[in-house]
Amino acid sequence: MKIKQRAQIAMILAASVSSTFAIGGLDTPPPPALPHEINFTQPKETKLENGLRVIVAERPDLPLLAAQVVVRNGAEIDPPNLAGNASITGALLTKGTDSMSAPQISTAIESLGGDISSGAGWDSSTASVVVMSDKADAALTILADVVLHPAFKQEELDRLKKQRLDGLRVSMQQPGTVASFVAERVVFDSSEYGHSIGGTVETVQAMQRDSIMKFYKTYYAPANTALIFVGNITLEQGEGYAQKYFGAWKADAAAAKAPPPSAMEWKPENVVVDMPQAGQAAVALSKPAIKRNSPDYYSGLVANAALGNGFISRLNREIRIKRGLSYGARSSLDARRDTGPFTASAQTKNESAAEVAKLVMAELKRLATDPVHGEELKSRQAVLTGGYARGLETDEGFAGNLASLAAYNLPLDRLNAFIPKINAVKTEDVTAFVTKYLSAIPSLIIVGKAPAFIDPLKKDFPNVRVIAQSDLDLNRPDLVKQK
Amino acid sequence: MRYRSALLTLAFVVRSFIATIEAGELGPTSPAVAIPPLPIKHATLANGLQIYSIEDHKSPTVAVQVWYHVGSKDDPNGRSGFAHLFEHMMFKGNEHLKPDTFEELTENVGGENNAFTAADMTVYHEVVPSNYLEPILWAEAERMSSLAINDANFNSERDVVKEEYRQRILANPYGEFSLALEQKSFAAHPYKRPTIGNIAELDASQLSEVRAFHSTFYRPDNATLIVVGDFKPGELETWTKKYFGAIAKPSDKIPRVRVTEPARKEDAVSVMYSPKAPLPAFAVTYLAPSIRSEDTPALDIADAILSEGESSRLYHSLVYEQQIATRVSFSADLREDLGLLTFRLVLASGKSVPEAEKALDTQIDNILKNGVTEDELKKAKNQFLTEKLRELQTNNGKASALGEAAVIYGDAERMNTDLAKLQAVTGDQVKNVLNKYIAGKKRVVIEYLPEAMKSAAAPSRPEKSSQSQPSR
Repeated sequence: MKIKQRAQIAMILAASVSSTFAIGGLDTPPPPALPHEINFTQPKETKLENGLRVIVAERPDLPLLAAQVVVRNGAEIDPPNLAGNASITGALLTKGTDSMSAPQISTAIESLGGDISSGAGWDSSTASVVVMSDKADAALTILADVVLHPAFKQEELDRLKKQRLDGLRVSMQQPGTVASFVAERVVFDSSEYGHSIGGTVETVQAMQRDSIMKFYKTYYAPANTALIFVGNITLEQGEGYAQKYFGAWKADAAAAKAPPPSAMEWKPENVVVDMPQAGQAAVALSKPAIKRNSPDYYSGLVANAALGNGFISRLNREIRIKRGLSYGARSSLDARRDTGPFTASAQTKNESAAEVAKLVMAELKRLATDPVHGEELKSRQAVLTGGYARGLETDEGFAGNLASLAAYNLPLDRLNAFIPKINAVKTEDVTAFVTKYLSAIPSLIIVGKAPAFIDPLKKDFPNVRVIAQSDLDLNRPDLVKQK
Repeated sequence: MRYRSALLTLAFVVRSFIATIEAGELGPTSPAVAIPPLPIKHATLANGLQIYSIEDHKSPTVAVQVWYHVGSKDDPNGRSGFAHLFEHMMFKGNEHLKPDTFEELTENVGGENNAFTAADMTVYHEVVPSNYLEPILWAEAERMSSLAINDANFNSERDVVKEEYRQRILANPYGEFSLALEQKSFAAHPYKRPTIGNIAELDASQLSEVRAFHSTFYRPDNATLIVVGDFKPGELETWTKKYFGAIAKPSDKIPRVRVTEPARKEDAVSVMYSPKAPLPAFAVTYLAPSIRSEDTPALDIADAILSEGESSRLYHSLVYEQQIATRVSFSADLREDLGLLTFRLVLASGKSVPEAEKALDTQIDNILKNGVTEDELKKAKNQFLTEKLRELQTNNGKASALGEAAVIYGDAERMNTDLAKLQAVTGDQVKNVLNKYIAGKKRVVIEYLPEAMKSAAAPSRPEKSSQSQPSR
């Protein structure tokens, strides 16, 4: 192993910093003791007459309460030329109701010591609060008001649009952010995930109150929503709160219409956006992968973890640890209601963008030829289960995990099933996943100073389309402004 | 910082507090929220290592942190960024500590590890399944005892740090603005050198300097070990003695920064231009006291009232009502030797820096003259209380609070007492401390403007160097 050899060299060449006797007389770490068991609170649930699902996880240790409303649709519903519609709808909830102005809402919740936030992602929209549990009544009054009675005032829409536009102007100068915007377009074309959640400069400018009202009226319905409580609360209390604050919610029970499945044929494309001022190049390889309810989900998480989840995952080892080419290389498997993306990415100095692209591609291929087994398999399972357990340490983290299960209509016992399911994944499952989902060539996206890397890049990726930053149009599937 | 989480180029801005809050203190709608004091155990080894621990068996994990009292203010001359570069070298091992050891003992068994460098300290932290406590203590003791770095891994890791610089500073439209805040606000104190450093001085750094830095600062009498979570006190005592107790205490003294920052004699304005920044930004800074000052709790309350949440004064007036800024913040950025009070704005499109400065000054004037309301005071106290509870949800959160109290405040018990101090702050105290550090004091203004504004700049801002202070 290369790493071990380097350690040997270190011993010979390096002058020691100080005397190097073995601490505790041990040349290697002392062995671990026996593991202690971990158990998560099992959530309970009930349903109101109006169809609202109520989920409660009782965690009485600290006088805190996290409450979250999760609507089972989000940015995937955005109309074709209105990217950002669900996100702006969500953001406007806390910007005024029939009885409270935006400043009244923020003052009320912050005076309790709490936070309120709302917005949309892929496949869901959420509104949530975290407060001291003795302030639950006051906080839930506000949470219910913003979800049930948002005013969507024109003045607030105009204000939010201006803020969004300023935010987007800054984002469009960041190579990493532009790369992710471009990747969404390149990978999903015009299908439901083929735009950015927050919208583009042009779609935000075009946003009108009627499309927002339409999204809200269609999808914010009790039968399409779950209310989640985690913290110092019992099921009975949670049910009482739900009835008291959300019982009168009688929206039309519009069944969440599943968006048309993305039956597109996969055609990879290599795109470079030439950003003359880029202080670094962002490199991403991306392709469609799996749905959240796929039986291959857990194998996929382990495959992804081997490639790019954790400090000594394969990508980070090759790109950062061995070669010093990046502050961090990683990959993600974003499973959604419909097929979501797999993405591997790193930022590097402009001059090494071609080398990093080649290394990422090579590691992706090696996932099929050099199976994940033995200690590597075990360690990546631990990365996933350990990270999962830490995510459940806080009430808000626990609520977020329940919200995700609710958004995808997955049974709540999955919460405690995650660790055993990950630990049951075998080498052949990982390899099968890689063969089935990751063997097709991905798209390559690089955003950076193109003259610094375009020539070497073309040696390994001959078919590259270069788009000048000033010509980039995220609204069009071909990404180029029409002149 | 090695990976993922944010580099602290500032000392901790949001500090933590804990206490028992009596009924009534939070207003009529607030029944008692009692946070019982956490039982902190303390030990000192013969070599000077300080050990603080809190036992808690709620989850089968344990958080371990080693705080070294050395930070970027201790960077050698001409080596800005060195303390942070050195932090990266601490993962490179020695002859017993193979390069992947920290990952093998953390991420590979379901734990995590990382480190960060700030102006006053460098912190290495892990969360591990509790059965891995003994090996992680051994590994921390090993790297405190010695490092063995060669040219190859020194150069390669320095490249990583340069990529970190590019990612945080060069690829970020406002990265260079953040650096300028410290560079322009301190005249003499090494706090003027940003923690991340710069490419030229990172390139100039030598392997031999890594050795010297370790022997000067990485020693048991300059370190504090924090252990929080699922452990048995008897075992902790045995293992800390066995592993850390084996490290000798050097006889030479630890060098300390003795630079006194002079009082500012005049207002100053720096103007920078950026080809990447789409919107103008500016900051206004005032010198502030040490974090150990009696004024800290009142400044923390002022911080929350001015800029915590959308109901805060600055957000409400400048972002919401006047729509003159797209982002605004105030921070009481207090450090060991002294601090800064920093107002920072990114303008909304179409707004000018002079009108935004005027709008900010109106807000500053107002709080200096009229102080704060009882409602604002109650709100800030509730916000701190909630934040404290949220921090106590994890062993790592508790460990961070304990380390901060022990190392930064020099009193671990402040983890249990500071919240009460904060709840006792009065409106008059908030008004008085703000007047003490702002009224009649000299300000530094840093403007960071889109390059397109360059040609028009000179004639439009003739009055800048004599920018008037808010009246009071």
